[in-house]
Parts: sequence; structure tokens; C-alpha cells
Amino acid sequence: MPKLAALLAFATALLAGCATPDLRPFADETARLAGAVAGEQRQIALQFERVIELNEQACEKEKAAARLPDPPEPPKTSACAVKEQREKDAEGYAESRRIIDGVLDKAVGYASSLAQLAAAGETGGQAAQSLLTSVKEFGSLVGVGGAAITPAIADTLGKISTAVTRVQAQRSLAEATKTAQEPINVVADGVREMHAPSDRIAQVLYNDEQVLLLKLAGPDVIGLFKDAALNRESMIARRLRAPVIADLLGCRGERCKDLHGALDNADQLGRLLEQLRPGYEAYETSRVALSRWRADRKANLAAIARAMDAWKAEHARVAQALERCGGLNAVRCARIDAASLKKAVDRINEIRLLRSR
Amino acid sequence: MAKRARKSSAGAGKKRASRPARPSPDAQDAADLRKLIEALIAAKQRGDTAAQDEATQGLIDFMMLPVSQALRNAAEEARLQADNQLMAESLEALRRIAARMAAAGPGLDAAAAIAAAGAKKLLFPRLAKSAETMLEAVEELKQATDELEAQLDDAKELGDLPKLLDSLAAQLEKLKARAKALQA
Repeated sequence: MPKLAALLAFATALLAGCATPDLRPFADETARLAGAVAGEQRQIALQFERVIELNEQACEKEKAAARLPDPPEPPKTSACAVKEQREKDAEGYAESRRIIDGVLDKAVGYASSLAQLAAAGETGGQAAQSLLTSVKEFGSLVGVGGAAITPAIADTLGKISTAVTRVQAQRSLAEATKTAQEPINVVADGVREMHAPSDRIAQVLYNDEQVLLLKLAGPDVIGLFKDAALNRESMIARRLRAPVIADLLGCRGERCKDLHGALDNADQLGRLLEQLRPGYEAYETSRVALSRWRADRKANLAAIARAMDAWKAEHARVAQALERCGGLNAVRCARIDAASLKKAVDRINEIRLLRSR
Repeated sequence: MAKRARKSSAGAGKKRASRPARPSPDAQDAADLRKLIEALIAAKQRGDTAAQDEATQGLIDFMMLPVSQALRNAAEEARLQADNQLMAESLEALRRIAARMAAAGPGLDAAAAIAAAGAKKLLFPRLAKSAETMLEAVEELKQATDELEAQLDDAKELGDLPKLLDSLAAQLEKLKARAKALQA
């Protein structure tokens, strides 16, 4: 009972009280941030899948070309061996991803509970009204008129209910945020620290895909286009000895010893390039998409790391404000709008996330 | 003649010794590749990720040059060795971070439980859900007010509240009595 007495003391002294801060923006930004982290992790998981799939294609190509006689222990650089390695890596990544997503889900759940409690803390007046209505209805039922509840009683009860509900809610909010601050710090620091290894993993997968695109299109086909664009004649001459080009020219071995002679003018080179263009263009399209993917990962991972600092700071601000101003200490009302957090989360390029593969 | 021939032969020998042998294209390619690999190793040792990325890109670009398949394989092997090591280190770092983050889960659950319990415990919203407990609520409030009145030096601080609660409780007592009578 002393607890309730204290609540009443507060209610009487400060009938207006401090409104419970609206924690919905904080909860919303927490959910967006968790979504962005999960989205980035998904991007990397998808890239693992892509690299594994491309390795599969390259492995088949290697086998078909009979350069690799399907041995039990293939050379380290073979796409078949790389595929196996990346499959193992993807499993390791998936395990960490699952744990991290799980913890972030808990953070979202916590923030949502806070917002619900804060919202409930502002329902005191409404609750009093509902109580009085019930009493009036009950009174009519048993034959006592509504006169029992005078406007003065209704008004006072409404004010008391508003203030007491706020005090109760703000006390629980203060306790919850105090309990959560350390775990929030751990989660925020963890996500920030994830930036470096996630960026490195993205870089390796980026390198893998570059090599695979090159292997699948043929390094000499791609190289020939680049040499032709830069008019590197000596390189073109060397390139023409490559088997893939020789095949296209119909020259193999002794039959076409001097391949340079087969391309003694620009027209002939032009015709060869036209023959090779579809493969080159497909390569270029994939390469441009890959470069954009890499740039997006760099930008988003950095933005997420910054937003995590803002999230941690915003939570600390909420906890401090509730401890300083909430409940029975309500002298000055705290303003919590999560504006700086929203700004930081806005910087995470969601459009890019959607646009990425 | 013999003298001239000897002289000429000696001169030719001298000439060969002073002019360095021109490396074959393959040897030059191999030397270029060696430089790239050395740059990659040095970057790795320094922990310079930007330089490491640059050296790795150099190896990938090298694979596009008109070089022998053996050199392309060597470039890819060096690239893969570095990248596989980087992948393993990064996955291990991520695993450690995830384990640390997982430890925060129970704390977040506990905080969420405090918030959820707090929402359930809010007196007036809780009472409003059940009209039958209205009287208990007012009785609780009245009792608390009485105690508070006894604690305060000046009961005026509470204003009209005790009186209003008394009135409300009296009305509710009447309701309760009428309800009991009806039930009987």
C-alpha cells in the first residue's frame, strides 16, 4: 500500500504529470535497422549462392573441356574445388547469420514492448472513463441512477488515473531500459564490429565472381576486346594464339601457324570481334552488376555501422531520460523523438537494397 | 687474319657480355606475376586491406592478359590462397562476434518481459477491463488516500480528493449492496 500512497502523492502534487515519451519512433527505427542488417546478410548469402552456382558451371565446363579428368583430388584452382570450399564457407556464414538475426529479432521485440508500454502509459484517462461508464451501466442495471457519479468525481478520477498510469508505466519503462542498456550496447557494438569481416567476405565473393565471369567468358575473348579498344596491337597478336580465338578463326596447330596473318586488316579483326560480341556483352553486363553490388555493400555496411552508434546512443538517452525525469521524479518532461536515429537509418540505402540482386 | 679473327671473336664476346639478355615474353610475364604476388604478401603482412584488394585485383587483371595458362593458374592460385585465408579469418571473426551478441539475448528478453509485465500491471487500464473490480479499485485508492492523509502534515495538499473518494466509495457500496440483494 505505501507504493500506491506514493503514487497518489505524485498524482495529487502533479496531476498534469509528464506524458510518457512516445517510444514508437524508436521501435520503428529499431525494426528498420534490424531489417537493414538482415538485408545485408541476405545479400551476402545470395552472393555465396551465386558464386557456388557459377563455380558449378565453370566446373562443368572444365570437365567438358577434358582439361580436368574428373580426378578425386582436383587442382586447387579448379572451379570444382572452389565450389566445395565456398559451400563450406556458406554454411559457416549461415550459422553466424542465424544467430545475429535471432538477437536482432529480440531487440526488435524488446523495442516493441517498450513502445506498447509507453502507449499504455497514456491510456489512464481513457481507462477512468471506461471505468465510470461501466459503473454507470452497472448502476442503471441495479436501479441506482447515474447521479452517483458527479462530474467532479469523474474529473478527479480521470486525472488520478492519468497520472497514476503514467507513473506506473514510466517506472516500468525505466526499469526495462536500464536492464536492456548493456545488452543493447553489446548488440550495437557487435553489429558495428561485423562491418570489417562482412566487408572482407563480400570482397572475396566479389573477387570469386570476377574470376568466374572471366573463366566462363574466356580470358582471351574479354582481353581481346579490351586490347582492341585500346589498340594494343602486340597484345592482340599474342592473344590470337589462344585456343579459343584460334577455334573461331578455324585455325588450329600447323594449319594456321601464323595467326597474325589471318587478321591482317581491321575488317578481319572487326568481324572476329562481332562474332565474340554476345559473350563479351553478357560478361560486361554481369561485371557492371557485380561492381554495383560491391559498391552497395560497402556503402550499406558503413551506414549500418554508423546507424548502430546512433541506435545505442538513442537508447541510452531514453534510459537516462526515464531515470531522471520519469515516474515520481517527473519534474521536467523528456522529449524522445528518435530523430537523429531516424536520420542515421535513413542513410542506409534501402532503394539500393531492393535494387540489388 | 688469324689475329683479326681472334680479335673479332674477342670483340663479339665482349659485346655479348655487355648487353643483357632480353627476357622472353613468358619470363617477363612471370616476373610481373612475381611482383604482384610479392605486393599481395607485403600488403597482407602490413594488414593493409586497401593494398591487399589492389594486389588481388592486379592478379585478376593479370589473368586477362595474353599469358600462358600456367601463369594464369599461378595467378589464380595465389589469389585463391589469399582469399581463402581472408574468408576463413573473416568467418571466424564473425562467429566470435555472433557468439558475443548471442549472450545479449537473455538480457533483451528480460527487459522485454519487464516492459510486458509493466503494461499488464497498469492499475487503471487493468481495472477498466473488469467492471466488477471497480469497487476494489476505489477501496484501494481510498485506503491509500487515508494512509497518505495520515502521513502528510497538511491534508490540504490532497485537496478534495479524500472527500471525492469517500463519496465515490459510498455510492459504490450502495451499488454493491443492491447487487447482492438482487443476487439473493
